[in-house]
Amino acid sequence: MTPARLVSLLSSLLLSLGLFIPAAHSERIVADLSDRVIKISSNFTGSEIVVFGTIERDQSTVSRGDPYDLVVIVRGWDQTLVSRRKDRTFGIWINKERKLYNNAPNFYALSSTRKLSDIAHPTLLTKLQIGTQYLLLPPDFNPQDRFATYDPFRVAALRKMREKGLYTDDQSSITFLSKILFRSTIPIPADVEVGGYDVTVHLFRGGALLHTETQTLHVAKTGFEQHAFTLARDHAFFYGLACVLIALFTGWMTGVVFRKN
Amino acid sequence: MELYLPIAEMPVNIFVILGMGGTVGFLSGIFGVGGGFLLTPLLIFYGISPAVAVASVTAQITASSTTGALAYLRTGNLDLKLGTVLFSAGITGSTIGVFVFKQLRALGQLDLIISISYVTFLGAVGTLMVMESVRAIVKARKGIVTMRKPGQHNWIHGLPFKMRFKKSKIYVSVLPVIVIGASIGFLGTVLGIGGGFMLVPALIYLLRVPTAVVIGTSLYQILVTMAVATILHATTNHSVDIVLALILMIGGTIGAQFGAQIGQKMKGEQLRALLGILVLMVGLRFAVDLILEPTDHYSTEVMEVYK
Repeated sequence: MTPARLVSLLSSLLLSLGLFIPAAHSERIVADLSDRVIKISSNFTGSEIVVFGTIERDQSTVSRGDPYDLVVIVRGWDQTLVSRRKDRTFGIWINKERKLYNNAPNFYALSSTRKLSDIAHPTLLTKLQIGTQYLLLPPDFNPQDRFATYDPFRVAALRKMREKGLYTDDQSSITFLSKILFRSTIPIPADVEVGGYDVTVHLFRGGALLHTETQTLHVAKTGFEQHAFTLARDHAFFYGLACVLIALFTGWMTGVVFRKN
Repeated sequence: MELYLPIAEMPVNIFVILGMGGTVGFLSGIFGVGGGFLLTPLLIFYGISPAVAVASVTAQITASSTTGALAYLRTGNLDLKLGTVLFSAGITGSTIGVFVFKQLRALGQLDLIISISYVTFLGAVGTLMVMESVRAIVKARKGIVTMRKPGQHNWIHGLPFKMRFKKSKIYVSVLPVIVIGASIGFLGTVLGIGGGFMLVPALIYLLRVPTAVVIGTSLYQILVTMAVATILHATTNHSVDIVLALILMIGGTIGAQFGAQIGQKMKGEQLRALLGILVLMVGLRFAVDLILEPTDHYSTEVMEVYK
């Protein structure tokens, strides 16, 4: 074996290892958001955020053949989701069986450069919860498990959340402006809940996760919407009283206005 | 024009909501009822959550019944004493109602109970109203005039704890009054309806209150019960959306004024027949949903975390 062949063998060995072990920051993402805070005011009808950034490489990093893959995820906080099924009882359709999912994010929007199945193995996608089809799974779920039973309640819950626009997978919104410069636009629907959202960018190459970067996005009500919401929650009695007084006043006003006509 | 609702946490088209309020207000003006039984289902159909729809309509009914009650107070057709007994019982009913509402929401059976109640009450009241008014119309056509006979009593007049209500010209046991008031308060709170379409026939047929006094008194009782229900919904469920309620109030009160002008030109039994048909139709709509197989058997909801 010639020394040249030995070197190429070693380097290919290292390469194949690199596919499975996240390389220690040989490549990393630097990303930021167009807005850190989305403000909800009376004319709010949804918004969008732009995630942009660049892939940084060490000088020593060997250039590989596979292209970079990016996955951008905007994820809210976990809630308990109830999935119910209607069954016919005494001739009428009522909610009977139900299943609970306590690891359901209230919001999940994903955009990726390619089909997720081309980016990484389902085991890794399941572990990182990348892709809406990998949500609402029990923590010890193994996608390789042939005996894992089909759960119609989970499928229905995912379908409902997708229909509401709260769970989305999009494969077209990441654009590379150069080989290493990217941007992605993620729409935020109008019925988004107030709170803190994690915006995560995953960098993959050849099926391996190279780097993950997370930023926080805040969604907050502002102005009157904020005051009304806080009042309704923290001073419920006075809020209720105010509602009644407004109702009495409006009712009285209408009477006065129309009596003169 | 889109407007964001702070409690419902969604944007709505302000003109659609104004239109809904106005249309229902118009109908309620014609028939002299609050119209909550139409407005709440409309809002739910538009996409507003049942909890917010029910609670906000409660505030809207408070406004519309204020206008009506004040008008009847001026003309003297309002029995304050009877109304006060009714709403005292009504408040108790409301308090229980808000509690039951919260429990049902947690159990996931709120939609079912709302649907079944609508079918039962709207179906029963609608049928009774149509039957009674058709009979009255037929009688009127034949030229038979029925007078209110002073000695005409039913079993209710045999009950103890009698009380005299001067304005209504009745001397009746306080027990049925309390039961009627509490039931209306309870149902109103759970279903987001004022209950006028149930209270009016109850007062006429069970307590024999003269028709002239009935509507004013019923509006007065609904006004107070709904005002209390609004506060209860606000404190228990945090679900009163003041912006939504205000749009509904504006649409509803204006619509009611035009409706009232038309209502005054129509005969009482014709009005009752039409209202009965309307009530029946809404009830049937709910019945169809319960009986027909749903296109989607599954529904998903976020589990409420109660503090």
